[in-house]
Amino acid sequence: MSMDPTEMDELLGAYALDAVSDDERRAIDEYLLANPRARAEVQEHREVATMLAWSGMDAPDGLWDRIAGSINGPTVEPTSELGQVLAMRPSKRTSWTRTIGSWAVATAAAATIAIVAVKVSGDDESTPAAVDQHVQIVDNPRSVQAELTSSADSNLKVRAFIDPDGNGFLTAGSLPDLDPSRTYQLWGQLEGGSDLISLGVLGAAPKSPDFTVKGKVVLLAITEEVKGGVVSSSNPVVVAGTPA
Amino acid sequence: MGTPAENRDPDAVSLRTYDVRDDFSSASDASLVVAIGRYKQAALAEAYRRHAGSVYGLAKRLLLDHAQSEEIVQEVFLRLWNEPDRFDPDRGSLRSFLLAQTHGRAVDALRSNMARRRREDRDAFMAADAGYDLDREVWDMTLATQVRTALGDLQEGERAAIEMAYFGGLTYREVAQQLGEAEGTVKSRIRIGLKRLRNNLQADGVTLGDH
Repeated sequence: MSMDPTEMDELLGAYALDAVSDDERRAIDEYLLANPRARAEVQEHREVATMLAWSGMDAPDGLWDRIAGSINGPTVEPTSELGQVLAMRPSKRTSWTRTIGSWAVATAAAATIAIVAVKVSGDDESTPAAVDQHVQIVDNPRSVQAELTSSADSNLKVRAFIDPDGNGFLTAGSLPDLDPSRTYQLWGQLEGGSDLISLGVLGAAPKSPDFTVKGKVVLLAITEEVKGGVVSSSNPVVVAGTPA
Repeated sequence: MGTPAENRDPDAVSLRTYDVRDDFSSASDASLVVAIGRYKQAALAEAYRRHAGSVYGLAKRLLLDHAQSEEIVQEVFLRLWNEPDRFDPDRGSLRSFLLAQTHGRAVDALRSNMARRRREDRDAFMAADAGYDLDREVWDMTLATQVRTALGDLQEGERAAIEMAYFGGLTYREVAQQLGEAEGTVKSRIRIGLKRLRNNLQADGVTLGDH
């Protein structure tokens, strides 16, 4: 379906109300990927729709029990080894694309990545204390967030949360597991700096790794590297994003 | 909807022993979703407590069918459990996210021939005493009154187009057909009406995006 931007814009209200055809919806989905202004407009329309749907109605009795019953699959008792960690989300088996051609940062950043410090992420990312710390970071109104995305694969989406003291963590469950000989590595560009510095080696199957950073980060990026990490990299960026 | 076994990765292990924060009553929606991502059932229960009524209310309003509406509530919350990463707090509130999912599913169901026939039969039955208007039974909160007022302040054509599209599950083309208007007119009315509605609500002191 071919529509010009004006026609697309005219349909944003109907799109937000699910009142377009399937072809139109697909065309607008693509349009939104490249148009933050249109995305913001759809979000605004959906907020209004949320108000229309406001209801003081209660959900029917017994419905929660059915939902709870559905999510309570067979419970595996923790072994002493498993007892060290919390269950984490399994990785989604998304297709793996190493080349992210349209990420401007990929080519620019790859040439300038330089090491300042490499910190291997601790194994404590899954402990109850870490979970609690993550909740605190998310709840802190002064924390910043960044969505690290790939324009080549919309399923790849990593979110970073960083509190004012520079304690951060990622929700990286959408990254596909790597071969054990490989690792993901997190890089950040600090305000006023021109290079990307390593913020941590994340492992081959990171879920919610912690990291720390000194200073204000203006760009975060993740690359795939050899196990153990590298001091500088020219590999393509897997996902990248700017803290808001 | 999948069975419990299908809804959960077989490798996933539920270790509720380590729930370090079971009281989520004061947690933000964003932190609820982070906790849901860690299999905190209590966090999902809190999300359900906050939003299930609205989710059910919207589904019921579109489908006029209790059983189908319950199915949709179940689907929406199980999807939140299985794919919490889909919620992006930068793109709106959790309620807005859940209601958008609900609306999409309800519209899909409504657009299936069988559901549509059922609805048309019921509409014909209800038209005698209700006519085409907002269902009053769910508007039992102050906020709902404000929304109703703001909706009433729209031009009639805008209000009808929005209601028929959102609560009727019709495409803008179908709305145009039913109203005997040009398609372009209807899609403009929906868009402009939503913007006007937003302005009206904000002028009335309603903060959007928090609900």
